[in-house]
Amino acid sequence: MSLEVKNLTKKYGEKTVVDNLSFTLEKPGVYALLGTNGAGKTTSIRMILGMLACDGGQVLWQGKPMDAMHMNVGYLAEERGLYPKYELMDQLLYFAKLKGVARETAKERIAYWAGRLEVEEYLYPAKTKGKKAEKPKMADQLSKGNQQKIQLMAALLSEPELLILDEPLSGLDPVNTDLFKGIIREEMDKGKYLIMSSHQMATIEEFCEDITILNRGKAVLQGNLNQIKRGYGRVNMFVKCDRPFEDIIRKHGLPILNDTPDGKQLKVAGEAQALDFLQDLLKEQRQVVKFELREPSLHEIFIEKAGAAQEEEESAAADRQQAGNGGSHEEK
Amino acid sequence: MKRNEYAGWKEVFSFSFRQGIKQKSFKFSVALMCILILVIVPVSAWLKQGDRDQMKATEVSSLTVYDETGLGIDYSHALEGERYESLQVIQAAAEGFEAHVEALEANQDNHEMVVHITYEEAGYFNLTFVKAAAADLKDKDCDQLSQDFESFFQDARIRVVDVDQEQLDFINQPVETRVEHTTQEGEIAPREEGEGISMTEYYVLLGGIVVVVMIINLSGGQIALSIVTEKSTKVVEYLMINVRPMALIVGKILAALAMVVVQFAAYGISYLLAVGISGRLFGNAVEDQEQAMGVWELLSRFNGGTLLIAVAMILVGVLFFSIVAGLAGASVSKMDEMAEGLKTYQMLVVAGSYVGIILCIVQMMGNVSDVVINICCIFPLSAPFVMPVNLLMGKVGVVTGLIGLAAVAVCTAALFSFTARVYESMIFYNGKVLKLKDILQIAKNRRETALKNTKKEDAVHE
Repeated sequence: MSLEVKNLTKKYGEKTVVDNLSFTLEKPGVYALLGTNGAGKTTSIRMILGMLACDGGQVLWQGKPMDAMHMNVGYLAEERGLYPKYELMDQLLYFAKLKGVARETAKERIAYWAGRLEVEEYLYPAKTKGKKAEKPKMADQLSKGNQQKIQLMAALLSEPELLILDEPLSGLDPVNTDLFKGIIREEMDKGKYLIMSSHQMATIEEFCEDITILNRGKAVLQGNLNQIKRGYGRVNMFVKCDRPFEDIIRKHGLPILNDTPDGKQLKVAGEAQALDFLQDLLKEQRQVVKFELREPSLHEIFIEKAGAAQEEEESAAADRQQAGNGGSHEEK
Repeated sequence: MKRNEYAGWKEVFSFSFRQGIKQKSFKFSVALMCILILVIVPVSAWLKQGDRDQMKATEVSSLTVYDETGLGIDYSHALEGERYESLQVIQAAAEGFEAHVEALEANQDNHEMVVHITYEEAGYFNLTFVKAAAADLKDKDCDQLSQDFESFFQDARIRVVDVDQEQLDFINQPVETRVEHTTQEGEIAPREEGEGISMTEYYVLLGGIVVVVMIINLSGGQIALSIVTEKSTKVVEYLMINVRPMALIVGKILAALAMVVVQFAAYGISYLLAVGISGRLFGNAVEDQEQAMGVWELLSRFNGGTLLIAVAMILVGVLFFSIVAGLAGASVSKMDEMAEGLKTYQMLVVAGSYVGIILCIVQMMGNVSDVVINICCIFPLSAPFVMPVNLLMGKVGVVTGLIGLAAVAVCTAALFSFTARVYESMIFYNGKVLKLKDILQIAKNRRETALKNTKKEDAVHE
């Protein structure tokens, strides 16, 4: 067991923004923290890193209270930040120095990552013979994607044992997304521990075995992603036929979740119902083009969990309001 | 205070300092000031030397004296020395003055001057110097001549009653008047109202305050700007996993102080260089000027002890206002709100410096009690501006200086402790500019949380 988050709680005044969050990273790999905007992901990450004092709970690393300042941890913040008017090389060397990386080692690693992330031209200004050397680039001269690369470099310079990536792929184009994904995969192969927060469910499914879904500070779903999916069962059916088959859907009383040119997504109770439906399609010769039965995607689980929690809260709030109104009537 | 809270301040200091002095605005302003010093001092020395050269030999060829006082003074040796070698002093009969003045314009010799000495009924001697309107004589030359002649006349009118040089020197000693009162013990003590200060003292006091205001504003502004930049660009997110907020602010404050030291060192070196250049080119014009203003006489009042207290006060004062600037910077989330966030800080600096300037003016007018000066030197907001220069010039005592230093140091420590409580929450705060009451609320919440945690820990131990 390497990273253990126990009953982490954070309050701002009367508002609880993270409520008793617990999870563990038992082996190297990527752990996902999911949630809607304002769910408490970033606050949780800040508490894990010791940036924010928590109002309850603790974080253990290798069984001891974690102190990010005294361990090798890399962090890519959700809100990207670089000094806009300072030279990039100066900034990277400063960040490396804060992590205790020797200047020469830092320079070597900067050279490696500059090549890997294709940002050499911004860090090493070209020198043309007979011409004045170009001025070193400042952060505000870079595109958002390139600034993100420089920040990822800063997070990786110390070769951290724990890497925390808050929305690492947001705002990246497909080429750079693949570049970042490749680097995340490399870090996984090196046996690093990663915590990743993202809104891109496909990316989470690609990398993460274990997840926590947060809603308004509370963990609404936690565990191994495959087990969670298995728990839901194969209830999502995707069907496309060359001939209309609405009558058969009605016959089986199946709800349509989604209707697209690529087919219909239907909800079934289980595999037996799906097979009965398929047999009817074949018997009625509706020319089946596509038939797929699978577990719900993480996206669907997320929507279901986050949506349900939101509905529950709204209903509780409405109840409270009604009770409040009743009270005031009584007073009258 | 935990040691870990400050780990990493050296890295923050070194980065902030290097980036600070690399800034174009810093390089430009320092270079501009140094160039101005290097130009102004020699130019002023050159002008001064021009004046001295001009004073070397008078262009007045003759001075005719018409004395109606009847004192019987012999004016043949009235103006002597190198400057008046070529001047001829003519003593004429008193009644010829008006005719001489009329003839002055017609005279081809336009280097001639006339002096008419009378005793007026109102009870004073009147010396009227006249030159032709078209006379080719510079005003400064004529003024110098009139002053030298007056100086001779002052001595000569006493000498007519048979006073020798020794007696004359004795009579000419300056007169100082004091009004004192007796104490309960029957001793004589000076009255409490301070005497007015000289113009030179006024300028030195004012100059001292301006220098402290500059130092405080430069370092405070630098710190606030740096914190707002880190907050608005979110760099602080990355920094916070490596250094604690207090290490961050301490590193920045020291870097800002170091920048101020570099700036003033550059100005000082430029001044010394400029004085050196001026000395080589134009003799001792600068020193003469300083001597004439009495600056060296004032500086000779400084001693090691008071200098140490004054420097300590400036440093503690800069620290105090830098922490205020740091808090002001942390209360802002966006760069364009910086001016609004810094209002309180600027108001405090303005209030402190205005107290100093107003005190300076009333000190010159001579109607300020020593008690008021002492209070201003002890009150933490005004003390950093007022105390150092007043202490150095002997306007307040060492005890007042030490009390003032202690008062500002205690306030700085209290402010630092308060900052340690709220800075972490403020640095992550994102939204409208925090007001003072919001910051106090943060401190209150932090205190309550800390108390709760302590209780929880106690319960666990039990």
